[in-house]
Amino acid sequence: MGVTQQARPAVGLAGAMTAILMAAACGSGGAGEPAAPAASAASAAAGGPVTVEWWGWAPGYDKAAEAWNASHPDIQVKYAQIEPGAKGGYQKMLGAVKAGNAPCLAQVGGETLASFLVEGALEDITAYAKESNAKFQQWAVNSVTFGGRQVAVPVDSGPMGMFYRKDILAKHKIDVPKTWDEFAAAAAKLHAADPKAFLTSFNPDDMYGFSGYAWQAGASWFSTAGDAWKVSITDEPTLKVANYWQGLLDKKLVDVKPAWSDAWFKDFTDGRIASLVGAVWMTKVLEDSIPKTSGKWAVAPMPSWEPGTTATGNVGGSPNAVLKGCAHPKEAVEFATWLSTDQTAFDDLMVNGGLFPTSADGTSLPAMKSPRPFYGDQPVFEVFSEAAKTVAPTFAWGPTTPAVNDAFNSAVGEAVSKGGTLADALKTVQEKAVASIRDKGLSVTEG
Amino acid sequence: MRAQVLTTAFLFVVAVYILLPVWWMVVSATKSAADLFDTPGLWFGGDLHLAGNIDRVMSQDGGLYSRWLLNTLIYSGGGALGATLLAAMAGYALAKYPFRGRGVVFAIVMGAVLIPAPLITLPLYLLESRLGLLNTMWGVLLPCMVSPFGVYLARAYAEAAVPGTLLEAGRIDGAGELRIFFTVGIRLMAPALVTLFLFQFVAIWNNFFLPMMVLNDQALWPVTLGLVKWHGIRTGFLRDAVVTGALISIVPVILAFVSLQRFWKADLAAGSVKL
Repeated sequence: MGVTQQARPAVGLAGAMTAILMAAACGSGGAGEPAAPAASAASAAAGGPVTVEWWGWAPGYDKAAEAWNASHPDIQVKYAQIEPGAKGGYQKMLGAVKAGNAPCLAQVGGETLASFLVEGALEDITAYAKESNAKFQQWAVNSVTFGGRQVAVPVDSGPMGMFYRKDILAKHKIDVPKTWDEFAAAAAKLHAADPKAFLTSFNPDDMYGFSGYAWQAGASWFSTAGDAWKVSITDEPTLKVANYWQGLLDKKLVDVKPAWSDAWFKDFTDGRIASLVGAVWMTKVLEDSIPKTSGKWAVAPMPSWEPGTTATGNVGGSPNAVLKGCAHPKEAVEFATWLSTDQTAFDDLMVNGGLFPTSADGTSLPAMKSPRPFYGDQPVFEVFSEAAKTVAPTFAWGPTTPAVNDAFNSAVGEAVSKGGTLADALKTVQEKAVASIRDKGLSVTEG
Repeated sequence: MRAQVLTTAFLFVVAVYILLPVWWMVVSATKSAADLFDTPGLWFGGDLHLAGNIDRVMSQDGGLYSRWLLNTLIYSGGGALGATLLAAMAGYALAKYPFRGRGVVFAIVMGAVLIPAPLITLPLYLLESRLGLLNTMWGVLLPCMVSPFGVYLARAYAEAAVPGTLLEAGRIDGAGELRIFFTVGIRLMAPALVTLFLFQFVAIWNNFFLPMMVLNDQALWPVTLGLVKWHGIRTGFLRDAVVTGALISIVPVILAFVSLQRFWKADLAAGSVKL
């Protein structure tokens, strides 16, 4: 962490790291220097129950806190449901950190962690978390670790799969595509057989969905090299994905609709869209949003780029981060680890909230095997639990995700509606992403 | 004549543009969850499901919605009353009492009109954190009682509508300044104060950012926070509840406008006669 030439090194990545270390070093109570043996003694010896405040919005968290409190009298978790992060929850957390009354633990989306890190809003929990990290899938631990320092405990993930209409594919004698080449061929065959129907839709306003495709292909949009951020939104895997969809768009083989729009859902209901390559949490969204097509759907693994290989993309997932100023980081991590890895606790989260586990033995949860009537009684989570084992470990988010999201929506939206190319649009996104990081006073390189 | 037709046509288009989303909301609130995306958005679905939807809104999360509605009424009613009273007093004082620094005070108030509320929400949050007002009703009510625009409006109106000679007469009769304000000043300013009350009422009703920052306890939330929470939940389909909840939440605002609008008319008429 040397001196950099940027104007405000204090807010740089190096600065943030230093701040974490300093906060840990001079923190009061039990939050001693992480490596010190005394770190855990103080708060445990203080006597009386320790209270850990926790903010989040995931469904099922309230019940999980109750269950924990009933069986752990020494560590009481006080849960407050706040607005979802993008709807103001993150501003509220950052405000609370500034005011010095932040909760110990908070739900922070994987795409937002780095933003919180450069704001200096996170504690380093490496010392408390390292023993229990073996209970998690490795890529999930990687995704909450920056420069060797862990700042959050993973909770859920969004491994991708292919939701498809069994009846439509069968009617046109189309095999379930296993590779993206087969997927493109199937798209052509279906559209030729029924000009009103498309195999799938492309959502120009859904950066996260697109990032999942790029993730699968092996992209790595953001990384850190030394004390600088590296932005690679136009890396080779991403361009491969962009050119693939460009091909489908050019031949008009995909439906173009805004994600989550009424029109999009209506096309699903009417059978004009026969499949969706999306994250596991779409399972419940489809069940709830288009109930009239119940029983006609099924789930298969995400199409792969090379025949015979499997790699899976991931969309979403919100770890629990320990916020700056937390007086009981050890207890907070203990609870967060229990929440994510205890079989009973997470089975409840899966049933109540549809969260998909990041724990190593999450595949053996009872809820994994439950057949779902909407998918013709297929136990669809088993497909995703296999897929979760092949999630590529390279993808990471940067510190300015909202700005990148805006840039993506405007550039890609324009490319699709006005006849530009996705590859050119991504160049614009790359430039704007670099600029947004530089505007924060951080050093950045393009790659 | 031609201009009149054009104006009417233009206003008609604007009215359609404004009313279409409201129409969509009314129609959507009558649909079952299954019909919401499966039937055309601007016309009714197969069966009227409004009663079922209202039942859903009222029972979701253990009946929190009615609590949110009550909270919004408290915040909007209490905040607007307080803001109206404070603005009336400040505007009246600025208009009717010559004192040192009057120009400076008014300039500061005018400057405050130009600052958008979200900009000062974070400093406000830090301030309330120190005062222990976070997660209390006062944390939302107190900032809502401050309306720089209201002070400006009240001053302008008091200057025109409250004659200095009338106040002089009151003083000669031996009334104190407070009594003169409450018995003479405030009554002459009533039409402006109704306008001010309505403006502030609606502004607080729609407010999101401040309560979002200040309140943690869901039992203290206003309707806006509750609806956004429901809307943000991807699993467990709540969109029917969100749409119906939104419809219910605008009813009190419409009632407030309808019941207070005759004062507004009186205001306009009074102005035209005087001039």
